[in-house]
Amino acid sequence: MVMSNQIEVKNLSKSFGKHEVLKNISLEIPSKKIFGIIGPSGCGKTTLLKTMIGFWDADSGSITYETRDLKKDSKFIRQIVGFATQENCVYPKLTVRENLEYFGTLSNVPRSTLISNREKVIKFVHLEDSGDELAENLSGGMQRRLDIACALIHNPRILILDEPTEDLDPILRKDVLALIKRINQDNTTIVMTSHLLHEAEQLCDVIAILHNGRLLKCGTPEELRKSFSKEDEINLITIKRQYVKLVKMIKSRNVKKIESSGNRLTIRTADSEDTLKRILHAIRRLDDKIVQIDVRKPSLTEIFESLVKKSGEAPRGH
Amino acid sequence: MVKLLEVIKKNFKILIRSKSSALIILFGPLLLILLVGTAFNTSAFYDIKVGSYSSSYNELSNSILQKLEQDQYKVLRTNSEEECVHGVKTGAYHLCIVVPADLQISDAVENTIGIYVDQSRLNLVYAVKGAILNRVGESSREISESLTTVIVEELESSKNKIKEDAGILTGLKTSNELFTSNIQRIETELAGIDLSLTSTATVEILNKTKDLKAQLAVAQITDTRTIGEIEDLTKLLKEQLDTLSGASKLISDIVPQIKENAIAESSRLVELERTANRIVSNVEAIAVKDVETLVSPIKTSVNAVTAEKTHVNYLFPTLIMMVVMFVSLLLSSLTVIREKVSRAYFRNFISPTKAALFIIATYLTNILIIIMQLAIVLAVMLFIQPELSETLLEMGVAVLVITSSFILLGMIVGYLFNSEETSTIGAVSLGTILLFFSNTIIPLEALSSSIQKIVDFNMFVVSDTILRNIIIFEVGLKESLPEIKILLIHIAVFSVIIAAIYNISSKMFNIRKYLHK
Repeated sequence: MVMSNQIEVKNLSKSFGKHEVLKNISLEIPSKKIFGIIGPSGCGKTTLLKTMIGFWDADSGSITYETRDLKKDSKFIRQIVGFATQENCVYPKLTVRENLEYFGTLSNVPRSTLISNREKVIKFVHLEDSGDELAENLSGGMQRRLDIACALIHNPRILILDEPTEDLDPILRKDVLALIKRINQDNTTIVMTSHLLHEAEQLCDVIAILHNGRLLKCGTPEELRKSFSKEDEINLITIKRQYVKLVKMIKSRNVKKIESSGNRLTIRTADSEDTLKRILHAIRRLDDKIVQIDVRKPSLTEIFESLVKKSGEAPRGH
Repeated sequence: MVKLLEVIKKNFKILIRSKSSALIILFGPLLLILLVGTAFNTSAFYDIKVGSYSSSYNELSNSILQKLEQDQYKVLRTNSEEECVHGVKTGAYHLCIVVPADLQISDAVENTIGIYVDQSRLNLVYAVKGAILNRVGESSREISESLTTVIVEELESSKNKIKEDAGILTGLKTSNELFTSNIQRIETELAGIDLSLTSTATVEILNKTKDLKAQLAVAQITDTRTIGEIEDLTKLLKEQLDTLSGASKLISDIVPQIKENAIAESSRLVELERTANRIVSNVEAIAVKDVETLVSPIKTSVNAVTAEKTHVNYLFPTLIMMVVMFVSLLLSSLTVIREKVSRAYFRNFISPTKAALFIIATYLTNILIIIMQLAIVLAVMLFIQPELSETLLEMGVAVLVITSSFILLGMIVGYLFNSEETSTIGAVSLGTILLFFSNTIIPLEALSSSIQKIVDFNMFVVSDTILRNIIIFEVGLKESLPEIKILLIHIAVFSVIIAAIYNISSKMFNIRKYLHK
């Protein structure tokens, strides 16, 4: 896959006193994609994002946006980047419109386009009915959308989102994820962090796995899976549950491991297509019927757990 | 400029929409002015309670207490000295006067009036103590005047008596001189008398007696009786001569002594006369014989350099300073700390906007609010003292400089602390320190000289001096140029400090927040 890199982070390290938060991190963030940084709480995700935007000064390493160095061109970079934190960085005593106007002005949006931008963003994040409400009176999901709207008011080319679905209920989370998708469809590069691995798996084009301030792995979800394991997992439930006979019938070089737990049979195979054919054939011969069957690649969670095990470091705070 | 106005607009909206802030900021000064104006719109002290104790009151002690009552002091008599002193401790009385039993003016009895005050209430103590001492002093002066009158009158009458009796003394001296000369004459006379048997007269008498006896013998007159009588006469003469001689000798012995004494007396009389003359001339030489002058040789009169109306006139500079100082310190520190701990601070930081703009916006927001508040204070002031409208421009310039310095100081407090609570405590403490080391609570002259030198740069003191010059003494701003220069130096130093700590402060706050997470 050939991608042009919009952001490049090279050998980035950051400490707070003796506490080393980021250790020699290098990232290449492609343009117009959703780049996910995943890892457990306290692994350094937020610090990485805040260092990337220049809020914290890096101890070492470099950060470039569209080939421009953060230290030299911070004003330009802040102009092309929008940032939404997990804390909803808005003024509670200002209305939705006032917040947007205020941050739009700070981001050098001309007066002539500010109002139209404001209304466009309000509509985009579905806050049309709450435009004149104080931010403090909005629900958690609405506040999060307002925060994202504030990050979008100056039409940034890059949107950085720190745990955008944190503290939201499943429905609001779904809304926010859909919003991120829509923003990305407008050709905005998204850099987001999450400790919810399945969420990142669904949404992100590229994922970086962070653990204890160290970058463990980076790539597309597919690349990560492949690098983790070449085996697929088939989970099967039949009506007659004649699993002993079935196992004998499907055995081949591709089938690496078969486990039975309760009413479910789990088969790990190097060639899922061939193994599936064998299963269907065997069931027909046994005159059985399938209740449930699914083929799945290893999940991001499993990959993450495996990587953490390999690194030999317990997560911070554990 | 658009950004600056937007940030100021935002600050105003946040302050106004926070009901408690709006209430304190807009109505606080108004309430303060109302309370102070009502409370101090007088030139006298009211309801000052004076406890008094004496085991036995008399006319004199009662007259002193009556004088206090005439001055609207409430004099409450207690049953014991302990009760009276305890009353001061508990605040029942502002001070306690202990009058000796049967107070009288005499060297033989105790006549010291004891006054007990609560020194912790410094300002009241100075005011009330002064007034009470004045009243007690008045009674004491009256008594002193009557005593001195007696002394002066006695002195004058003695002088006159001495003058009157000077003639007697002169007569005595003359008599003595006459007496001395008489004595001298007697002495001379006595020296001339010869009462011896060998004196010419006696020898002649004796010879004539012998001759008479011889003539009788020649005439053969043998009448023994006649001869015997002649002999008796001769014998008697001899005896008389002996007696006279003895008396003469005695007189001769005494006269020199009398003469000596008379001469000595004469010189004593001369000395006495000189002394009397000296006393008279000394008494006459006393320049001041007026009793009032003798009792109070130096008179003091406290004259106001401005026409006094009420206490509130004098309070204006301090009142303005209190409003400016506390509101500036609290408001600016609160604005800064609220922004610093605000979640939105991060978004401000990552916006393409310079830090200086936020600092200037915070300063301008604060100064606009305080100018609004001062407008209320000045309106009240002009209502009470309309003539001050002439100094309004100068006062405006002074207040701008003063307010700026306090706002910047408050902003430093805001940047140094990490929560609204600590920042508020910091601002209030700082204000209290500045207020404490000013003339408002204790006279600066009561401080040690080294502290006084530091206190001379106290922003509150400097600012108060500027406002007093303008409001009370109605002198131009030029008179306060040294003080204004001090404030401008403060402003420059504070600006540099703020520029230096703005980013450090915010980042340190976020690092702490991160480490506590």
